[in-house]
Amino acid sequence: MTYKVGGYAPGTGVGTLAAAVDGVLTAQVRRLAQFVSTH
Amino acid sequence: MRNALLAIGFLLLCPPPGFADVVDSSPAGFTVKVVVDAAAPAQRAYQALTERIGSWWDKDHTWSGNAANLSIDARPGGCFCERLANGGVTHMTVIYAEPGKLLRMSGGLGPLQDLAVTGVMSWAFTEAAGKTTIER
Repeated sequence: MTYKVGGYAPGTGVGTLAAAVDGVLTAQVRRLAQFVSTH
Repeated sequence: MRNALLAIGFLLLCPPPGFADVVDSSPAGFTVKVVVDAAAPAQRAYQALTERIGSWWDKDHTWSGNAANLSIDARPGGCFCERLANGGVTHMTVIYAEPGKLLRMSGGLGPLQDLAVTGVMSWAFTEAAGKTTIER
């Protein structure tokens, strides 16, 4: 899964959100893989 | 010491089957990539993504607090939506749907919705040797 994000975020810019988004999506993709592997 | 360096070198050249990373980032945007393996056929993984999202998506990352309110209408123009008690949310819009192979959606997830940003999310499914790699 790849998520490409671009645009304007006031202050420090969009890039500062990358780590938080990465953390959430990593957990979600792993949950999908776990679900698929066990159901 | 030599063995340790060889091991590190091997890991750098051959990353484990699952990984996640911010592959690029700037003030104007970023790319997140996650690769995982699932012990199931690609078609089943795709169906779980599109038809069973309420069964695996973490409720802590919903507006309603209940993942059962989520749905993905997996056809071009279809909605990755969430029902609210008195309304609803469009999280993303489907822009490419090829069952068992690729689902691509456009939109800003979660707090990104409130910013002047957009995103493109691609879920690619590659089946080999009885397992499916989810990546793009």
